[in-house]
Amino acid sequence: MHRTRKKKKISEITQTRTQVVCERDRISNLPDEILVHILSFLHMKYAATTSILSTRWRFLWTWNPSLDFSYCKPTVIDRCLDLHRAPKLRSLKYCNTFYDHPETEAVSRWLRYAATHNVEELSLFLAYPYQESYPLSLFECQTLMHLALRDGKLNLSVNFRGFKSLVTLCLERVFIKEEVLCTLISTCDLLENLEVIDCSFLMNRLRISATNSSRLRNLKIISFPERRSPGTLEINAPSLLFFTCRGWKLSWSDFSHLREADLGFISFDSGWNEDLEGWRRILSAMTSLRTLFAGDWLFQKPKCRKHLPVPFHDHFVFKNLKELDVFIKHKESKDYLASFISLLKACPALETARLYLVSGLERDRCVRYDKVRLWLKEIHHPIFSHDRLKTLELGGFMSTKTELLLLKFLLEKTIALESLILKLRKEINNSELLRNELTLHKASPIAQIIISHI
Amino acid sequence: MASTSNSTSSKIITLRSSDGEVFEVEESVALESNLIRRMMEDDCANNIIPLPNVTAPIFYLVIEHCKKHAEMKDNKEKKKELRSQGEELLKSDPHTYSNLMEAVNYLDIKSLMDLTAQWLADFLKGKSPRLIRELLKIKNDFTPEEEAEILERNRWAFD
Repeated sequence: MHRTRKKKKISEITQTRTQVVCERDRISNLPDEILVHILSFLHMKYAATTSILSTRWRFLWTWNPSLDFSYCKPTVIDRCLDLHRAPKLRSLKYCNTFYDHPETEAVSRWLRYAATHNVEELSLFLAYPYQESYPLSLFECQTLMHLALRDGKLNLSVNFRGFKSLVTLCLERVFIKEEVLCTLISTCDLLENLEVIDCSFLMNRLRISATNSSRLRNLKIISFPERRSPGTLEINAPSLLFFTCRGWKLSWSDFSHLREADLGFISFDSGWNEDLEGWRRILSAMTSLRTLFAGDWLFQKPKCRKHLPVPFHDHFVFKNLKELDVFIKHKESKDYLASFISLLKACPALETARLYLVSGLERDRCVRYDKVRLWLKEIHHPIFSHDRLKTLELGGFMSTKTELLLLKFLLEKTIALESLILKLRKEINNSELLRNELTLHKASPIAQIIISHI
Repeated sequence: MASTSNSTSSKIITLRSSDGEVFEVEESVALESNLIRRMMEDDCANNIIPLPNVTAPIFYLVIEHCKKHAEMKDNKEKKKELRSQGEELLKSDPHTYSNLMEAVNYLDIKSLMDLTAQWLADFLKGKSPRLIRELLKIKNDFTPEEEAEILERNRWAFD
């Protein structure tokens, strides 16, 4: 009937003198493994201070399997590893201060210790301008499941055959060549999560292709284009579900299974968006998305089309999309709201939509009010109404004539709306008037109109 | 997600605490406990499941927190709130805390194990050893010489 849990005993820890412990001291009476588990949530400094509490606690901290040495002095780390008794290491974390550079030999020593203790998780953050290569003993850690490196240089050892258990790899500001990264990805068969942030110094063209990334589910790849002109990224990962990309030029990639995409500020390889066909291909490759975060590119008109707004609904159906965020940075995006409505029409399952205008827009004179009105007539037919949309959030508003026209239209057409959240720009102060005017137009009786300032 | 599965598919499971009180718990909540999961898999859960190591007030706390934990999955604010509750409990009633911790360990509930461990870890952080001893009623059984020696050896940690 009852199966007792298998428990690892750490027999050496419990000292004979602990029997003296006062009866009311219930915390110290908890079993060793619980107390050690608690210590594993603490930085080594705090874990080590518990040694002074009582004889019961004196050596508990040395059994801690999760070692967080962030900002510790190298000598302290060496000392702690001398005292350390846990047979296995769950995790080892280290980041240095700006003034405290460990010697490569020291880092190498810690890594060898980690390797012999079957470390599962490793985070090494070596503060800039530490630009030495990571010691080759890193590649001895064959039990690694999670590896995070920040700064420093990464070169592979000659006889490196891959981390056979690695599931997550995060690289930030690491000097790594594109072929080294490709080898790393292709030799780690179990890799599911990959983050490459600000590592593009040595990369012009990065190709992550299906043959070597069949298990890859999460991919986050971010560069800062202000530091370096964007490289080209080509992805062919059939199991990819979550994709975040910024500051890269995206080349033809297959996203047909993608569920969540965060494509803030990206651009596309010239072949992709120079004509309507290319633009269609970009978006139709993403039609199984459930959530999408997009920047300006979404509303950028294809060159061959002269007429704005962008007529999404003529070309696509995003039939699974439930959540949509759009951030527009450009001043030029005059017909943003009209395009946005067209996009809503192309997303029949959408429940939450947000549109933010980051830098604000020019006044009415730039938006061709009459044209928008004509276009709205067009969209009226065939009859458009959205019966799923519950939350609509619009930020950075000026409450111009055109905006009002479109807002009223939106309210009339969204029959299931629960809340409309308007965030006006600071200088706009007619929110009461606006609310009263909009209330007259809402089709959904339960819709709340919330107006605030950014 | 959690709320829909709770409301639709839920079977009720009956459990009895050590002091004889009977609890009716939704299956989705009860299965958080690996102990109960194993008992159900072994098919000895058709009747009332006895929990000889857990008293009613503690079991009540466990269920409360299981529910809260399920709710907070995607909610960062709630997560923070739940995490900050430990400080209060540990200050006012370390006795109940250790009973809760033991019960969670016995019931083998991973999520709560981490939460309650995090509570004590947060509590220990940045407090002087003397204050910790006082609040948690830990008796200092070192001789002054031993204490001085530990302080000397681990000086880096006490600076």
